[in-house]
Amino acid sequence: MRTSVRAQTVVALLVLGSAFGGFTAGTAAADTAAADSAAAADESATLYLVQGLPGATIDVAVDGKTVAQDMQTTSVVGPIAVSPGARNLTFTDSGGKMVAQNTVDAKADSSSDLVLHLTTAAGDPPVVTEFADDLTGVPSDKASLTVAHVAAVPPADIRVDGKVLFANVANGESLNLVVPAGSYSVDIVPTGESSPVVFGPVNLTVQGGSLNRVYAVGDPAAQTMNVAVHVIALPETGSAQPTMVDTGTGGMAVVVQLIARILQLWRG
Amino acid sequence: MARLRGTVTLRPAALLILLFILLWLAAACSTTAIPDATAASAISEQSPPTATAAPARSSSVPVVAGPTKSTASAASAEPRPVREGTTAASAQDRFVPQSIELPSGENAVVEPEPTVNGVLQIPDDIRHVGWWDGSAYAGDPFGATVIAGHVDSRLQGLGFFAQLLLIQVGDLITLRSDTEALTYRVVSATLISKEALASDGQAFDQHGPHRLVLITCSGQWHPEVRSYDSNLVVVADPVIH
Repeated sequence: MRTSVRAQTVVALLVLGSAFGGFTAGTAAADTAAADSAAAADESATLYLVQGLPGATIDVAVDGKTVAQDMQTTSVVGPIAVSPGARNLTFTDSGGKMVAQNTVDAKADSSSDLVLHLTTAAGDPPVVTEFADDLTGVPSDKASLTVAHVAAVPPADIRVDGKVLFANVANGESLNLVVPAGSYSVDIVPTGESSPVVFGPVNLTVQGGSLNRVYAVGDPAAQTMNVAVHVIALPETGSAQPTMVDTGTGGMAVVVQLIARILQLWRG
Repeated sequence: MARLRGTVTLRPAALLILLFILLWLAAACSTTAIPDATAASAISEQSPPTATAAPARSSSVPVVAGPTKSTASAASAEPRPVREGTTAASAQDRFVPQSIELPSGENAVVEPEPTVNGVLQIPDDIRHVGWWDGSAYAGDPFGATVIAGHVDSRLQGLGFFAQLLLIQVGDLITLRSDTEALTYRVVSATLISKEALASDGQAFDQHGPHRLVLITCSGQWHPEVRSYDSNLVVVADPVIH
């Protein structure tokens, strides 16, 4: 149920590969649980918690009931099934201090990520942003990749293999693309610029047949930039790659080309 | 509660006073909130606070502390709704093509079609064409959007994709859904044997830059099996606006 990606920024560059590997195993279990709980209560809303606050260990309660404890930066907890309606969320740090207190309107049969994170305004308290999970299916060899900006940086471009694929994303915004499953080199730069590189480059492995939610978290000024990754299995769509396309039983293609050639000559 | 029972043995009257105070506190918490106090006690009951939780860093986190404006809002009786994550304005539209327009200006319906036993299915109606349901959507960043159609049929005559026999590099092709449109410019039209199409697989590749791949039949006609020996593969790149 609980997955944790290593938090240290510098170390992250080296360990991201293995961290994602460990992450996969964790989410597989989470997905099964999600399916079970969905079957048990069709109407319930599914919540995932993402700890995007650097240097803090967070406990989370829903309607006063503790649902997550000791969440390290970049860790993800869920799925948590809740009844539809207004739910109270409280985020407290290891010292017992209230970090954020919010309400969320949990909708029946919905799935969303609740992310605790910094804003771009220095000194402002952390906020909680809800991102809806788009559970539209993909072919098994493709990945739905959503990159969200929840870091203390101005609007940014996210480059994939050196090319801007996610342009001008501001704090609290996300972008979705469907890409081939595999490994990509990802870095973050200010919108329209090629430097300074705010984060990365890191190797990001995106899983086929899944929604891969990647959150850019932290504060470059405090050297706490990092990513939190949340993977949810999706229904499989599409069929296998064809080896044969058979599209003619008339035998007229040669005639068509002949007539076309004559017409071209005619027109000069 | 254990502490409470200890008090009872000392003096019953104290219990009533304590109960009154506790009730008053509980009511106060649910309306005006002393959330720090309740949260702290909750944590100490469930698990001891982690002493190793990076005290230097957590002090730099702008948690709610001190008599600031933000403290008042975060610790107020009415918690704010969570922020709604929004989609960045640069989001590209991606869509399953529902119609295709060729340089002649004519349009055809595009139907999603699966691969069955390795063979890409094609709509029976030769005026329609088929989009391989495992291929890229129009507007995806990577991979081929593959559309195949009849060049002809013994019973129905010439198919819509017979027009591909006349296509030229530089021609424009437009894919549409109900609400979206994307135009592509032809970069190549190549005749390849059906064996090469199967072994090469490049026409169907879902990696590399996004492109449109149109496939029909052409080449040598073999009347004994009523089939062509080759595929005509037209590749077109998206036109960047």
